[in-house]
Amino acid sequence: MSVFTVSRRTVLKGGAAALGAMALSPLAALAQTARFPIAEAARNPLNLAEGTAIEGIFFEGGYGIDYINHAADVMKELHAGTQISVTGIQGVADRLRPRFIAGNPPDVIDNAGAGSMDTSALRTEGQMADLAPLMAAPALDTPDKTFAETLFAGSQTGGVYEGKQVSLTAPYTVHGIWYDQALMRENGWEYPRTWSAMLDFCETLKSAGHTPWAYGGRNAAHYLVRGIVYPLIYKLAGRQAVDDIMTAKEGAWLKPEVLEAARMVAELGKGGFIMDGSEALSHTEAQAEWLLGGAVFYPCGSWIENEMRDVIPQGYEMTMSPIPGPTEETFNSVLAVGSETFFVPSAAKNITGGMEFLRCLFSRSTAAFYAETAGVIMPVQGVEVETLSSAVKSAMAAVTEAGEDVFPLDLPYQAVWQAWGALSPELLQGRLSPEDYVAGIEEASASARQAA
Amino acid sequence: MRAHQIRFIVLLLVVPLGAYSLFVVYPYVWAIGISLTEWRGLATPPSWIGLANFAAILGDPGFWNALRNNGVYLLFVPVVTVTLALVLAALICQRCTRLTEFYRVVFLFPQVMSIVVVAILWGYAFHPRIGLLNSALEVFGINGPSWLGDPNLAQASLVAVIVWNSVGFHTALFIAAMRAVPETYYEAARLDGAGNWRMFRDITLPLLRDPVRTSLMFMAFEAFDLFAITRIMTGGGPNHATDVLATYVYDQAFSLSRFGYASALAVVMFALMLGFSAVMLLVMRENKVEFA
Repeated sequence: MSVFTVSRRTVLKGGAAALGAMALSPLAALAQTARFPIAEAARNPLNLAEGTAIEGIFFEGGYGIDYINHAADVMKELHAGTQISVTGIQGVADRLRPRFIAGNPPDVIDNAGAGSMDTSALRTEGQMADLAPLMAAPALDTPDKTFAETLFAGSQTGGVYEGKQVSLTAPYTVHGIWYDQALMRENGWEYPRTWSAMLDFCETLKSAGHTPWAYGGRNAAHYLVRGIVYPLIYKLAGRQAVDDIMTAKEGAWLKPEVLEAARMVAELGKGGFIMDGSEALSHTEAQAEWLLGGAVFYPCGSWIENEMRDVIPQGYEMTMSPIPGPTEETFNSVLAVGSETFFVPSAAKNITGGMEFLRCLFSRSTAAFYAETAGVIMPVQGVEVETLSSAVKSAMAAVTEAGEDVFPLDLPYQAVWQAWGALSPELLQGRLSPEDYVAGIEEASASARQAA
Repeated sequence: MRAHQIRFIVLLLVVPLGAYSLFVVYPYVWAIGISLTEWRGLATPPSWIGLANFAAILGDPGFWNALRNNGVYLLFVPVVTVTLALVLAALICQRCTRLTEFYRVVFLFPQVMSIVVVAILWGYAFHPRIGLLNSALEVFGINGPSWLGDPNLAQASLVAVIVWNSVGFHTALFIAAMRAVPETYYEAARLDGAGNWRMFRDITLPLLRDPVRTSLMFMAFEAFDLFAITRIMTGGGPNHATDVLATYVYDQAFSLSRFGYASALAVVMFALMLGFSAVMLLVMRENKVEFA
């Protein structure tokens, strides 16, 4: 019996992620587990030996760990004889480094969150196994498609290193500016569609007694870059400019458009639009203040709804829009990317087991479970969801409206992330000029380039 | 010494010396080895690069920034702590009553608390929006600053916490020392018409020279570390304003995966501490000669 019912469902499709209705094709002829039908060819294409042990260690952050457990359950049903242990942790680097040094890493890892391992170090050292067998294997529960074909088009290019797919990213995360649509409606306000309109709107908010912006400068000041600076750079200078940033190319931060983006962001500080004390708050403190009305806008990724679920006030219509650019035409473009990095260590004892786990994790079954229980999107095509919250709906709508204008952020250099976190509050507080800001990040970018 | 006595002593020393070698000496030696390599802290073995890491340290503004911050602590923390402790001890000992004992216990509280707890509690006190300090300022209509978020205030805020945390311990030490001063000295001084300040300056202080010097040294060594309190309260931020060598080493190793470079920094830190200890020992010896 299928756990899916066919009526009134939204189907999430990849790449442009158009929202539309699509009926599930009949799968009557297929064998099935207790959860979902499965084709014989998709049962064990990687030839996982029965009775082996698989150990997975996963970052447990805003997205929780339930989806990992679900994937483990799927895998246990599929391979009854195998022993699967999954653990959620924080501070991935501290916990896993000794195991890499000892040559005994787990079989599959989610490297994310504060204190994650330097992805560029892992790559250059060849610590990530080539996932080619997985990419070419039949997908678990999408008939007649390979695993690679079921993923959102273009969503995994960040995990390609020297021509090999060495990591996968998920959940699919849309980054933008979050606010309460109900508050906007009650006041007859419209979300501004150009940068100058945004500055005017911040004045309007101030005179109405609201603080326009909040952020968590203590540990999450890089949200300012990911939510505002980086998208502004894309909107001002296009794809090549952000590609140069991601590869830490020389001079990537010294372009005039990048300086212009820094100038624009500094205007938020100059106008007095930032919540007092933001620079000393943690991200959760800032988010709680924002939800309780301390500020109107908060730059973040689409995990925020799940992260703050217990704190969201009744009637708060959490909604996301892109940061407005210099012109109306640049409004729609949006940053969307897998936010956590999954990989199989090349020194793992059970590489096949690790890949098989990823096949179960990036399956329609897990994706549907995740979307329904937490409103979180896996980059897997054709997933049906009964209901979507306003937050997820707005995030997916933003991606749809952006069409081809979706851009990624895959930056494997901790040194650059660190510079973003250290320098951005200084820019907003007016203690650092836009010129010194971009120069400081260029410097971090150069040191990352040398270390890689 | 008889043979069985020596055997007994050796037997007693084997375990602690073994543990010391394994957990202290061995990692030190190992770190010196790693400091001569480039190593990302993963499975690929370290590769030898000679003294390149040490050359890089000289031109690393992050290192000089952290060292300067340690220097600021070294300049302020011992002097402020010891002065304050002396004042408190003198005030309490003006009349040694049963309350003196009570104060001695109360002053020791911060020292007894785990530094982690202290750091977290003070983190809340400094909280820019709901913190004790800014709430108090708000009563007077003052919009309090963001203590730990402003690079100009963060280190001073940490100095306050460190002083608060240690002043009680040194006060207790000084109280004990002051009570050991024979009352007859004061009686004689009083007969000669000396006031309180005069007695403190010319009797108490000179007789407290040893405990004061010990306290200053103790706090000076503390100023070289300060890892836990920095890591918990500011993480070295805002914008590296409170980085100390210990947090900088940690950051280079565990955030940026530069283990060779971090080990070189640690070796430099070790050398600095060693040099500082040598100077301190010299100072002590000179004074001993003076007493002899």
